[in-house]
Amino acid sequence: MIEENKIETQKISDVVPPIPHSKMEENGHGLLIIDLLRLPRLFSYRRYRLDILGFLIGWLWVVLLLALGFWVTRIGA
Amino acid sequence: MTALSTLDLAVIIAYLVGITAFGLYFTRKIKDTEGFFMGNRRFGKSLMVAQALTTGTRSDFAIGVVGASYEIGMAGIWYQWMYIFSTPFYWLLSPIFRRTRYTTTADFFEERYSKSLGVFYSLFALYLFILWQGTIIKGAALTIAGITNLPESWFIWGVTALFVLFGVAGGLVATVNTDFIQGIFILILSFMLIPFGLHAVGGFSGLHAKLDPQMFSLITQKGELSLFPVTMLIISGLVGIVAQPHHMAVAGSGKTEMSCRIGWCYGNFVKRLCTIGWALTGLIAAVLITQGSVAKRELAFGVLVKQLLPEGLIGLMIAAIIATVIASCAAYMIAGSALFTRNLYKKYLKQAADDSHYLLVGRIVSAALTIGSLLMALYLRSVIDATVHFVTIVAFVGIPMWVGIIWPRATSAGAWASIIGSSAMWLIAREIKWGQGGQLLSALLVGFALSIFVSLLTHPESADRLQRFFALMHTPVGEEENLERAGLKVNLD
Repeated sequence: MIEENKIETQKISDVVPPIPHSKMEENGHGLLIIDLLRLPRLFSYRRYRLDILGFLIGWLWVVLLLALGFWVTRIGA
Repeated sequence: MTALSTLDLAVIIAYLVGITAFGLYFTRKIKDTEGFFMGNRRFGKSLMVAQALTTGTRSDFAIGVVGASYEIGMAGIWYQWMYIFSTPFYWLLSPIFRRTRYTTTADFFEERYSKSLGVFYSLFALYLFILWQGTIIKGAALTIAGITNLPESWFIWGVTALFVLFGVAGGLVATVNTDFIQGIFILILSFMLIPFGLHAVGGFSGLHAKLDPQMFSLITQKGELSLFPVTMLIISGLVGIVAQPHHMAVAGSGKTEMSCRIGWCYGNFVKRLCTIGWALTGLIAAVLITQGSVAKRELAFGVLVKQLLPEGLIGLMIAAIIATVIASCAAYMIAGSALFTRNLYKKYLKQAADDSHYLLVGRIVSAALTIGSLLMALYLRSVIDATVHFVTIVAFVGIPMWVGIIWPRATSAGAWASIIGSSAMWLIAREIKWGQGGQLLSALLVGFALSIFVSLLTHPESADRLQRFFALMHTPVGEEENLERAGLKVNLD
């Protein structure tokens, strides 16, 4: 068990004892999937900056690839 | 009588000699099991992109998509694009894999749930690796044999010998460092036939003039790739992606979380781009090869190579196919070897030995797995059946992974119930002749429902276990001192 007087901790669930608090998570390195059930309480752009930006850019690539696939079928039609 | 010219043979031999020497050069750098299995987690962004592209792109994928598009049109692209909507999720998932600091996916099941699930996953994954490698070797050997008119078994033995040389000798470092070169060959494989094919059919307008307009539709109105089966394949792909046994190394061996994110996500986007080239090649095949004139639709690729490419480029294409087989199989072999050595041998057979002993065991197991794959390749009846079988069952094991990551209340009993229940439901749905979409939907619903209900009916996992697991999940790479200061006993790289 964590010696809580030695380190700042956070509570993530009733069944999980406190775990170390992360400064990096607060500053953009939080993970949306890990925190999915706590998002209504925790969500902020600042906390999930890397996840949000990368995920949205990823979907942009999906749209571009789908458009490219569709365009290839229309060339010469 | 072989269809290969002296120039083709020279290209193939030059490639094989060059790539083998390159791989063996890196053997000297392998001194311990961490280096052998995870490359000491030192790969940067570009190497991670190359690793994700090459381990995730296999010649049998190209051959399958070309074959499907040859028969049913552009919609055949979904046999690989089923993962296109999952790809942005790789951005979210890769730091999770990296933060676990685990070497294998079996570590996940053991640490999050129980030893029994860890052992189950190890055995499940070993079976998958053997099946998968066998399928890859079989697919490539069939195609090359189709091009050259030489016996298929020659290629099964030859290709196997090559990837063993890489994998057993050099581990993941050798594999990943040669991945740059293999990546170039994959791009060649994907696009080389298109200019020759378009020239032969009279360009894109010729393609449209000679094919039914329905062949250009991305979705078929009915049949194997209509909307519902495609939707279910996409959902199953996302559920199963976390449980694919090689992904712990592919997504977690980066130097930083960012290199893992970029590597896994964008390596796969390059692959999705290549898939467009494969589907287009299939349409070209539909014009040039009369439907029904080849025994199996997957043979269309080999026939097209022989029909379209000039001397020298046929050799280059064969080298490209061999390159993808080596890259994929060597990575799977190493991942399988890591699973056995760390999760079964070290834990249950010999707990205290020198690292050099485990390294030796890892290499012996690599060779043993390969013999299994070789036998599988020699005796496999259908490449497509084996591939579909793999894609389906891996999703059932993915359910408890997703639930276990998201929901701290998930228990080992819930995980077992989910795996057994979803597999049973799938078998029942098959027996009562539901379509592919119905089989997948019912199995996934039962799996998720059982995972939740059985977990709620059983006691939560021990506080220590949950604390250790979720502390790792919430400790980004670079903040390991938090874990040390907290006195948490976790295996930190």
